[in-house]
Amino acid sequence: MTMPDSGADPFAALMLAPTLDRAAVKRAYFAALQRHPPQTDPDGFRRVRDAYEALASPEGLARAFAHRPIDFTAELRRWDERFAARIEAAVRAHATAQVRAAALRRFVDELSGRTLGEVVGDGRR
Amino acid sequence: MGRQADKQRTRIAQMLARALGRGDAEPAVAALLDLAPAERAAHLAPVAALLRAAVTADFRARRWDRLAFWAARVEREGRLLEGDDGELRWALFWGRARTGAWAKAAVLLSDLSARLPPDLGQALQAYVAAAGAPPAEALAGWSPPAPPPAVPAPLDPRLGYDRGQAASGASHDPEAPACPAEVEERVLAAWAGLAWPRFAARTDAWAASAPALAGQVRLLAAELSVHALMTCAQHGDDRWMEAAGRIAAACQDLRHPQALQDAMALALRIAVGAADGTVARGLVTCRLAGAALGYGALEDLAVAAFCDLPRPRPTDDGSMTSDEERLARAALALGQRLLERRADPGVFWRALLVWETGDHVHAAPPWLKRAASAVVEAGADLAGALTRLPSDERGMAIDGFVHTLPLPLVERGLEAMWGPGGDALRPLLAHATGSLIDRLRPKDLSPAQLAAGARLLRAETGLEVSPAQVRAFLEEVGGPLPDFLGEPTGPLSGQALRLWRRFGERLLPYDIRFLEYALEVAPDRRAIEAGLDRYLAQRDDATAMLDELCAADKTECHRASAAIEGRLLTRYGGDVDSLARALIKAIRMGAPRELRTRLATAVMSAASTATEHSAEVTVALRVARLLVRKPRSRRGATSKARKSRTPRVPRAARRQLDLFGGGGSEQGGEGT
Repeated sequence: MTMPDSGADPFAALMLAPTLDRAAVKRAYFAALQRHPPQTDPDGFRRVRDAYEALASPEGLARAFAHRPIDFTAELRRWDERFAARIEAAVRAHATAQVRAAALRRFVDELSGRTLGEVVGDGRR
Repeated sequence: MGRQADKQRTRIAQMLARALGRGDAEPAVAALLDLAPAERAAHLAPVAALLRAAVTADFRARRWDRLAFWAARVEREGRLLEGDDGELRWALFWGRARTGAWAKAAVLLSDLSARLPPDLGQALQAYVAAAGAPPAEALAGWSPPAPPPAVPAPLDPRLGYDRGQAASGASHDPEAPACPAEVEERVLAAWAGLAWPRFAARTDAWAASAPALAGQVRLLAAELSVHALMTCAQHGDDRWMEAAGRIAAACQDLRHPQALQDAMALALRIAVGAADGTVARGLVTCRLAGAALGYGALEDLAVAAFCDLPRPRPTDDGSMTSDEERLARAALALGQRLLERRADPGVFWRALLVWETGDHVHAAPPWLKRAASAVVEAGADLAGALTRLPSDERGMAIDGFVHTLPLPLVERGLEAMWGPGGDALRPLLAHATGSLIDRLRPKDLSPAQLAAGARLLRAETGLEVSPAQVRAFLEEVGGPLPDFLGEPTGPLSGQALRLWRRFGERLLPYDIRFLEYALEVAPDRRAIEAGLDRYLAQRDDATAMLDELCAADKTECHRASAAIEGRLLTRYGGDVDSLARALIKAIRMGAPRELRTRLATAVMSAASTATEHSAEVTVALRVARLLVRKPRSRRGATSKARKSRTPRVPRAARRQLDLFGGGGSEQGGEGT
């Protein structure tokens, strides 16, 4: 298995999405060790080990997490998954409420702007 | 009593007559109502006529509050409506309904029900019963529904609704939510319909006007602001800071709701990743990191963000702008909070640097001293954290460490950092320790130095300052000597000597000053030789020694200069090649004349024992002969003028060098 081009990014070296969860780092490390055993892939193992050492301490993990470039497209997609349907529903509900409010306004304005004789004389429109 | 009542009745009757005479309905009705019910009958007809006219006029003019006023009067005297064909009740009904008096409106409506078509009566009853908000179907017969408005679609289906999507205008500008159930719909609809700054202002206004809903409104608004945060940051728009600030504020005000934890983490990452070192970014980072401390899971991230904080940059005169000062205050407050939670060396260095930047004299505040003590006692990796600082801040940080903290703490810190510091940090640590020793050295200042200091302080402050006061000031401040006072000249004694004895062995190779100290305190010849050996261990060729000689001369380290020169001439006395190279270098680098002459003499002496010379030695010999030649005294020149003449490298010697090395002086002003 080929390693991703991790550069100086220890998360990429462990094939791990940026996280502050140290248990997740540990799990990713052991999974990476399976892919890069030291006996058969010493270079890959070294990269994995370096990445794990960079993330092993809380400070190192936080530093790497803070400096990891943000994938805005993915983050925006995640935000959209959370809110798009709710916004859509809210906009529809709001539009419906507006129609109702307009109908009520028309009802009140028209009736309260006419005398009883005019209203009764007109009958149903 | 009876007479009094008569008078009252008479007065009311007069008022009524006057009002009727003027055709003024309001005083007429008021006077009528002042009469006892039994006495009103005689006046009812003319007053009712006036009332009818007034109500009709107010109804036409849609003056609902006046109609409500008339309705209240009529409720006290129902006979005023006698003979009404329904028009008066209709008008008064609307007066009550449109001013929100639903129960009173219901009474008037029930009086009208017989005159209304059934479906209209039902619609109005539904309207009144629902306090003005009837279900849509109740009005269906009377107000055919308008076609549903088009729901705005996301501009970019991948990204959903965008803050720039305000094209729909007023129709998507919702009213404030009135109850918790309305919050989500209204806030989300406002998000979809308003540009982000307007959305933010609108939700703020909603939260302010309805405290009971404020938390719900602000939480959802903050979650939605994450979109603005991301899109602005993605496009390099500085307004990401505004969105981040709102998220941080919501987070703090709402006591760190779990729903905002991810948003806070993202905002902090954006703040850390923003490449600029502006004050605004620093301020928003402080705010975010402070708010993130409410989440245990984000504490490490807050620490990382603090360690990356841009340092306030004072101007050349040491002052800071008000924004820089704000940043310094915010950073120090955050640093204090973080250090009270944990002894983190990175946080400590950053806080110390910010403290150093401010207009502070040398003593660190108690919290910083406590933090330093905790960091040192905990055996935290001070050296590692110092190495992670940008290179231009490391020296500043370690200087701050030695000059602002108590001496025992500084000593323990230096001791702790030396081992792990390695080659990257040891020169800095050595320099800082040297500064500390200088600071502790008695300041044996000459009267001329003190007078110069007094003059400068007078010029700075406009106050009369005596040399004695300058001395007292320096004793009190205890820091390194100001430049204008030059190097301290007092002996190495007391605390300075103790420090030297503790750290001297390791410091010695790092600076010519340290060799001077070693020689100053060396008890015997053997110790002097040992010090020289250690200092020159990595500088043992003739030209390297020459460099050290020049450095010693420049820094007025006279003992070191003499010792190195002695070692140079002793070690290379028989090595004509090395001496020749040293002489040529001495001339090129503008070494003092005495040194050049001694080197020239040594070259000539060493060459005299050899029969053949390399080209380099040949040139050096020619130059040496010119240098040691006794200069001719100019006829007529006084001895004083001769002394004042700047020593020169003879032109012939310079020419020899040009022929040999193709270069004149290495330092421009050679020969002058």
